Amino acid sequence: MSGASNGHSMEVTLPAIPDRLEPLFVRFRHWCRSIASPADSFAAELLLREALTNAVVHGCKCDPALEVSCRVRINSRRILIGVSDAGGGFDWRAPRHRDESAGCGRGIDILHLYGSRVRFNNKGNAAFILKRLAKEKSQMTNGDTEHV
Amino acid sequence: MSSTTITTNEDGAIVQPAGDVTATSAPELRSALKGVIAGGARAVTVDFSNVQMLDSAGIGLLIATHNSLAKVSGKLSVVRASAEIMDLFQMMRIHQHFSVSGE
Repeated sequence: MSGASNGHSMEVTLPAIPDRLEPLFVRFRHWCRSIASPADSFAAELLLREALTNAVVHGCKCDPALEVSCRVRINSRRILIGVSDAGGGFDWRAPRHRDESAGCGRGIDILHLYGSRVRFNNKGNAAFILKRLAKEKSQMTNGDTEHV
Repeated sequence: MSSTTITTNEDGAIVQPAGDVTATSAPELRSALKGVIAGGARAVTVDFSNVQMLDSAGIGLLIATHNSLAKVSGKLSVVRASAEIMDLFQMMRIHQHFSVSGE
C-alpha cells in the first residue's frame, strides 16, 4: 500500500487484490471511531467497504495488475469518499432491477441508502460519496448521556 | 486467523462467526454454513455476537443460506446483532426473509 494518512485525510493507491483492502478498513474503523458516533462510524466504514470492494471485484475483476485509488476526508460534519479504478466502469444510469431474493447486487443500493450524496463519473469507474455526520462524537458523549 | 464456531444439536446448528461478515470473511462462513446444511441441520442460527460489520457480500451470503434452507423446509435466524446491523437489516428489508434479533 502506498499513501499517507493523518487525522483528517487519507489517500491510498493499491492493487486490485481483495485481501489488500482489509488492513485499510481496520485502520479506517479506528480512525472513524475516534471522530464519529457508533452509527456514523458504521455507516462510513460500510460506504468505504462497498465502494472499494466494488472497484476491486467488479471494476477491476480482481486483476492485480490494475490499481484502485481511494481518497477520504473527514471532519466533524461530514465524510467524503472518492474511489476510482482502472477498470471499464459500469452504466450507473441504467435502471436497476432489484431482486430481493438474489444473493448479490446490493452494494450500490447500500451506497444510496447510507450516503447523503452519491455521484459517479461518466465512465462509471469513479464514485464520490458524501456522508453527513449526525453529530460529533464529543457532542454525543458530553451532551447526550442519559442519567437515572 | 479467525474461525467460525459451530455448535450442533438434534435438528439444528448455531454458527458463530469469530468476526465481521464481509466480502473478506464470507468464503469461510459460506463453507461453514454449507457444511451444516449438508450435514442435515434445518434450523440454522447465526450468532452475531462477535460481528461488528456486515456488508453487501455478507447480506448476500445470508440470503443465499436462507434460500438453500427454504428448499429443504429449513429456517435461518440471525441473533444478537448490533443496533447498527439491525438498522441495516431493516433498511435492506432483510427481516422479511428470515428472523433477525438484536443484542
